[in-house]
Amino acid sequence: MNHAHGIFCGVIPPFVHEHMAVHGDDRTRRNALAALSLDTTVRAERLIVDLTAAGVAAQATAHKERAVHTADNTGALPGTLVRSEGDPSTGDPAVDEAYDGLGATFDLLQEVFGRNSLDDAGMPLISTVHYQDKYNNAAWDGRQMIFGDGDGQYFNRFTAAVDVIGHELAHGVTTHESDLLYMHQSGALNEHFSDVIGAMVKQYVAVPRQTAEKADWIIGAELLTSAVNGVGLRSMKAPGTAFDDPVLGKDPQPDHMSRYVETLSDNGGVHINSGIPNRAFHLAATGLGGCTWEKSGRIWYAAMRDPELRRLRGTARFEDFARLTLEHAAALYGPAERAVVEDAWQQVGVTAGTVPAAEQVADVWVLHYSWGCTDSSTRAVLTFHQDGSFSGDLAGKWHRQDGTLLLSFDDGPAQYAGTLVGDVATGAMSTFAGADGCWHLIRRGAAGIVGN
Amino acid sequence: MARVRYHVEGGFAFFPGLAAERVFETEALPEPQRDELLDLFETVRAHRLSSTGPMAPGGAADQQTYVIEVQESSDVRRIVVDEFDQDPAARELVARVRECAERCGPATP
Ligand SMILES: [Zn+2]
Ligand SMILES: [Zn+2]
Repeated sequence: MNHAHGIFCGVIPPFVHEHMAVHGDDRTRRNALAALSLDTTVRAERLIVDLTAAGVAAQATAHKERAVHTADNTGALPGTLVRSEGDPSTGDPAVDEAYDGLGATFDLLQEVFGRNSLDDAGMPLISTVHYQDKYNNAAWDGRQMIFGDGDGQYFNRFTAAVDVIGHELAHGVTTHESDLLYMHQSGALNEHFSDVIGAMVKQYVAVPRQTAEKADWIIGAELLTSAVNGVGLRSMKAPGTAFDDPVLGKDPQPDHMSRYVETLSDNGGVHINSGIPNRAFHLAATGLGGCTWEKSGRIWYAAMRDPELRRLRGTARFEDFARLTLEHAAALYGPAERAVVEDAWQQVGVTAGTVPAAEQVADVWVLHYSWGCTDSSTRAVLTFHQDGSFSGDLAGKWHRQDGTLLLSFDDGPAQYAGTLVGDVATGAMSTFAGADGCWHLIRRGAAGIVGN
Repeated sequence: MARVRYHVEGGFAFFPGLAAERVFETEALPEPQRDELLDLFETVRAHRLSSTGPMAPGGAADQQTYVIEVQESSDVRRIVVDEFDQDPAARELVARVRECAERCGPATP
């Protein structure tokens, strides 16, 4: 799994999956997608677009628009505009750090994930610095970022840490994707994802760029003054060890599910229990090797965007998110990567949730497919494995989200998308190069189905 | 006289040492400020009781939450105010309480 990587992380291309790269011109692709969407959901179409060329298209039209305001040490929001997109440095470190940090986060989202700002539709990045007096916080109010100057005694200004800026912006991404409820486990996952993006931004802007192995995995390393006995606000590598100070207290983060903190404070411990998934991410990132944005970051980002997470929203537990990361690890990369991610979650005591038996895809299925959707079809017996692969008459990968099933094949560019209900899936397929067709899949031995 | 207790929850990180309760007596304040503070507290409480809409914009994260209690003899009244509460009176109250807690010396719960 640990491929040979240079010391430096390369600039990687936009989000195009190697095994599913699209060939052919736009018209062909549109036709194929139209055919695919006939028989499936908008969701399936979106999945395929995600896995193929959307990243490139989004990047071409990405709209970067930063606006940094100052509250002049009052509670006014957004306050007075002091630096707009393209304006030169102001000489005020808080303003310029905010501007640069917003830019770094925007660039990561665009260059790695093909995302066009927080809402993926070019939303302006609004922030306010010098909020309140000696304000020891950074926050997202649902519309904009807010940064305090810190009290100068224990805390420096909150813009000094680029991962804190990335963290706040990521809350905007989460709002527009899964919208995880900010309480208890779903809230801790919300917090966790912000730390993942924050750490990734920090490693991405480092010169040279940092591998998962080289990174310090400390959130907010620049925020604490020398008066504090601590290295930062949180450690994703070793949760619970970031600070131990007479005034601030001891870092309360658990690093394992067995030490999960049940509390009503802090919205049910959202900044406390996020230590558990944070450590899982660190283990997955170092286990997969290379830079976080090469594999682990993409897996986590795909899981955060999974419509099933949005469906769970307020009831999502660590085990649900873990299952989604396993699914996406298998779909994006393969069984070996899936195993690394599964091991990471197991090390923090989280066992990936399972789907109900009736919905289990890991089984023996009979595939009937017909290029051109003619009356005659070809039959293939396939065994679907837990790790997201299938073998038998044909070999490839499967990926399932809710009722949507996607298939890709080791030989050839054909993409299958369909709707799975119980023992039957039906759908369309395309080579994205002129050939389209229809298929259905029946669970072998399913009762009452002719042709099984 | 009234006793005001407050503590802060939430924020970008959880610091057990900063989550401690702070207490001050309104008697420590000059009289006009003392009355203003208690009036403000009652105003916010009235807004809370009559409100039907959300008190904070959706999707907020890392905001601090102020838990404020006013005790007069055996009567304890309590309100919780989110940092980005949309009620200007609530925001004003938080600012006043923070200021008073700083001015009225260290917490002695
Ligand atoms: Zn690698
Ligand atoms: Zn946060």
